[in-house]
Amino acid sequence: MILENFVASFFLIALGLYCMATKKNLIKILIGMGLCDYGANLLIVSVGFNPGGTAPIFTISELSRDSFFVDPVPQALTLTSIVIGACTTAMVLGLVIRIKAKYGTLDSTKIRKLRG
Amino acid sequence: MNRKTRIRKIELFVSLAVILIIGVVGAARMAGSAPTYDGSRTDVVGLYENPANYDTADADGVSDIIVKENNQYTAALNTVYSVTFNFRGYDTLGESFILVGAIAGTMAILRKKGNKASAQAVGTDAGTVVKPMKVVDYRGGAKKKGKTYRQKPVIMQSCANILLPFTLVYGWYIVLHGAMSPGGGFQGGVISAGIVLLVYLAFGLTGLRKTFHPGFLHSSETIAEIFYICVGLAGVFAGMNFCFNFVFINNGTFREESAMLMNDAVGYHVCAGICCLLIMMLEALDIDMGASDEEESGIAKKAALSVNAQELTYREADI
Amino acid sequence: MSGTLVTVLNTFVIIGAVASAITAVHAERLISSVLALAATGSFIGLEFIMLQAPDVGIAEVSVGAILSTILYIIALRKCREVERQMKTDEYLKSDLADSDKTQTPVKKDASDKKD
Repeated sequence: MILENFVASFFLIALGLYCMATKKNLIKILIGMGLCDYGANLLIVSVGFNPGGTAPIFTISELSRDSFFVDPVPQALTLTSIVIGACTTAMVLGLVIRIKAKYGTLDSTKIRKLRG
Repeated sequence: MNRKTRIRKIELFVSLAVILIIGVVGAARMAGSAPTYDGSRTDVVGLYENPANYDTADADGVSDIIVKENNQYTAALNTVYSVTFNFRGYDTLGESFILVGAIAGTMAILRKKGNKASAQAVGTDAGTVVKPMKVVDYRGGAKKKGKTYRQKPVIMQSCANILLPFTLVYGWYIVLHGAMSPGGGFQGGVISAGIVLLVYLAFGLTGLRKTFHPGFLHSSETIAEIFYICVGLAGVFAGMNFCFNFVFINNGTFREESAMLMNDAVGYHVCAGICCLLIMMLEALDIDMGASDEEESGIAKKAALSVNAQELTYREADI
Repeated sequence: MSGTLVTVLNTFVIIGAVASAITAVHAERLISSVLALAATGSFIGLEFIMLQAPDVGIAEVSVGAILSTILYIIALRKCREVERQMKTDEYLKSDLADSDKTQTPVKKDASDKKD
């Protein structure tokens, strides 16, 4: 239970939401989405931490009678979350390339006019 | 509209502050007092010496049971690996589907229509007056007539020639040793997909096209996914659960289980998928350095020079 | 070393991550904010390794700090090429280009200079 990790992760999520809500450039909006991903992953792994625990890999040469493990389940879920974040980023960057080629601009207020 | 934008700004900041405060307080309270896995009651040395000697009568969560059962029911030492492929193999299947879907979607978005060699074949609707600059790819060793001195990236090619096998071996080492050390399918797959970048930087787009074929990579990625499903379904056909270890050898020194086959399938899947993704993005880029100066006409050259490089600094404000 | 978390180092890494995230939001040039995002990903990866999660640390560094940055840079480069092509077309359609179309090509200028 590390307080600065929680504060930092929620601050990153809030910063990412602020970036997505206020900026007009499409690439900046994507950067905000990436920051939300970082904050959420940090939160999940920080919740599963026990002070004094080791990594959940059985290397017996380093362990003693007093050692115990940190939680392995949130780490496995965070792996999935990281891969999903990367896939979303790749696909939206392909969309950004097409939008720039078609509309000529990356301003999110100008590409709202649906043109046939 | 000054008041409207000001109200909107205040709303935005207040809502973000609420998220921050409630989130931090809630997370701190949850991690402090709610029942989570407190591993200090597990005797890990005793579990290693006698794998079957554990007691899950008063377990405080799923993680407690997983850590205690890891040595007996799986042949892997890495607990996160066994959670990913053994105890929760179904979630990994869904994640592989997401990867396939994202790459198929990017393939559909960045498809080229028409001439592959033109630099503007990614969906531009406006017709252009002048043909695009004829680009000559010099990296594949293409010769050019004239007395102009041509650069050849000797340093990049030599370094890529040396580093390519090391990159592949390192990436696959991490994939194959996922059960005993930190690593696994995803991490090793992403690392070994760096060979696409090495080949592109050294040999250009021509070399990349000669070496890889994105359609074949996408098909083999799908075959790896089908292999994962078949290994998982073999347990269902035998009468047990999905992702059942129908191969299980745990002799102390020799450990083998069918989750390692699934790990290798996921490693190949991720490697082929990320290679395919990078090839598609680099082909959409489709510019090669070293455009020749004498093959353009005067008009096109003047047009190209009129676009000042300083106008394209790409700040956030000039979109 | 059996799993102790050094509090001071942890605080520094967290401060580094938050500082580079603020840079990523407020930077003026797009390439600067992409590189600040890569720095944030590296700090978060280091934090994961310090929280005794080496699997997640390797995944975060290789995906968030390397692959994602490469994709962003390719997309920015492509947008710049599209913009250069658009400005070239604009120049040729404008009145400035009409006078250039009647000009002689480059080779004749070189031969004039020799004379």
